Amino acid sequence: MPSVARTVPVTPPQHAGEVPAISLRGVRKEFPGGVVAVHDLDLDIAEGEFVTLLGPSGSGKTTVLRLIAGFEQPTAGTVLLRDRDVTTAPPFDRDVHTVFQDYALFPHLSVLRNVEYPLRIAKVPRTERRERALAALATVRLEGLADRSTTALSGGQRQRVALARALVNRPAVLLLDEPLGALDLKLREQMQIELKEIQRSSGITFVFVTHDQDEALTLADRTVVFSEGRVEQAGSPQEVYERPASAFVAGFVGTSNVLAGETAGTVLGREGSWSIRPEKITVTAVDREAAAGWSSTVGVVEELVYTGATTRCVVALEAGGVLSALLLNGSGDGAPPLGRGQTVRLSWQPEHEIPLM
Amino acid sequence: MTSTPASPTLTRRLQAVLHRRPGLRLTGLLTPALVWLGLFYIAPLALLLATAFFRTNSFTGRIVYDFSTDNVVDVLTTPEYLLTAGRTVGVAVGVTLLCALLALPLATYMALVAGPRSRPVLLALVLTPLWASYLVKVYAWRVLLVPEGGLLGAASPGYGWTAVVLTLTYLWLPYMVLPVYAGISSMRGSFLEATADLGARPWTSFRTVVLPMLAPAIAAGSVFTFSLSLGDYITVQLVGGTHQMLGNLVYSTFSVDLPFAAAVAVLPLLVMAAYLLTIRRTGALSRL
Repeated sequence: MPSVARTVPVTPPQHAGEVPAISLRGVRKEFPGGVVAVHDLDLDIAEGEFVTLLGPSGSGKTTVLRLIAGFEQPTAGTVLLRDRDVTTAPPFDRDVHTVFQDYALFPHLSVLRNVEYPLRIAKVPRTERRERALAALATVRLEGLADRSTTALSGGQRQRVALARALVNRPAVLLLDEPLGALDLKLREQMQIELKEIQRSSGITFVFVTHDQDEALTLADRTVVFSEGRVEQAGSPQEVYERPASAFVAGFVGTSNVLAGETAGTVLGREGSWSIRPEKITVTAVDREAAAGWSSTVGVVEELVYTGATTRCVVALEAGGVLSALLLNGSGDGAPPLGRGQTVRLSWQPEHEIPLM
Repeated sequence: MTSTPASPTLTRRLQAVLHRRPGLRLTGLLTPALVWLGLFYIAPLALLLATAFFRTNSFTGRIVYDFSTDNVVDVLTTPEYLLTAGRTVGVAVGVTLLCALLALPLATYMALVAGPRSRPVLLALVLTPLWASYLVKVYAWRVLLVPEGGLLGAASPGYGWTAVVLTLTYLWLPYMVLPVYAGISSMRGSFLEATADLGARPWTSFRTVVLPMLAPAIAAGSVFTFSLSLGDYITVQLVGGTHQMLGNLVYSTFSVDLPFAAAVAVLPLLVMAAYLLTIRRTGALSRL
């Protein structure tokens, strides 16, 4: 017997009352062999919104993307694009373009001809086609490479060509399937900024799949967190990060610091599971009293992980359990440097104790 | 270790010399193949060309070693010979097209649809015809194609050009399937989805992306199917009825008039050279 589906009603915060760009109603995808990739999903994505679908591999986020693109047909439910039912429409009949993880540039065509491709299919006259393709290449800052072969490009450049090709005839929705996965960190950060800029200036709805929580939070107007084919939480990056709805979200987005069971009872005086973000925790000498109204507990420093700008301080609590605190390596406030084995006091404001379901 | 004490040092010194001098290494590796190529391919070809410009004494049947363009001019101007050449090219083109038509869906299925477990099985099945002797296969087709009363009964096209094209297609199909399969395998990933995603219907996607991407592979396969068909004379003898191809012309004259046979043999050489030059533009020759 299938478990009762927990559908999370997800309505975009802005453009209330307008027709959503994408609307998934009770969408379910079951693959042969009985694997259910997506469980009864209800999701509306507003016009011009930048939505990231975040989740570990196998959580169903890519399947959702493929359902919107039309590469997969849902087992049940409907897919609406601007109120048009496209549930069974083939990919070429949807005003949606995809930037693929492997870019899928056509190796027999030059950069310019790759970008011109969707315009050629749409039978746009030659001169206009060229103009628009060059303009699209300019938005991704590749105008100098128009006549290059795509096989002679670096990963970052290919990614830009794929982006230009997908944007050139201004689709209603752009889908991006972990497009930055193959790039190195610096390039990825730069592309994130550019993507955000392109999205803002073009006003096209972006749906971006990633398993990288930083990326998901950086880019999104709204982040949808997936786990095992279900939406765990959907909301602004702040909401998802500061108010995780479940232990899964708390753990997957950011570092989870969960106090549960007896530990929660001892430390907080309350039962249940509670999450406290590491950067909300202050570390002080054990003999110093916590500020008035703050929660506090005592423990022994187990590990200090220096990562440049910050130091992660892992503390084994006397009450049992472990909490991490994130310390900014600023100029310091005269406090003596921490050492392993030292007993310290951890304190935080009670408003940062997030109840988990 | 039972080797003599001197030999390891000698081997080592040889290795050291070869390591220091890549030119010497390369010469050593290439010489046998080049000698083979020169002795058994280039030299006979030159002799063939030279022979075409000799003539035969019609009374004694002996070759007269005088330079004469009679044979070549004869072959190039006699309508019957040119017609035979044209038909031969026609058969080769037909076989190549048919092979490409059959290989495309088959290779597509093998490369993109079939699972990783059935893929090697299918590949082996494509190759099985190559395990049997050429003659056995052609005789099998001869039996199959017996006009009326054969295995095919009234459906048999009988002996003739159709039978020749069918038999040759059967014989050379694996040589087309393999390169096309390799070509399609390189299209795994999102290419086909990308064309559909960008608005192309299946036929447009085939025309604008699949075919251009496969052109080098098809051209590579066609080098085999075309050249093998062009030089064939046994199949046409067995299932071609009274028809003749260039190979038959060479076969039936070479014992009587060697210079003339050599002149005829120049024709498929010219066709093949022209074909390879055309195909070189697609980049197919680097995929053989």
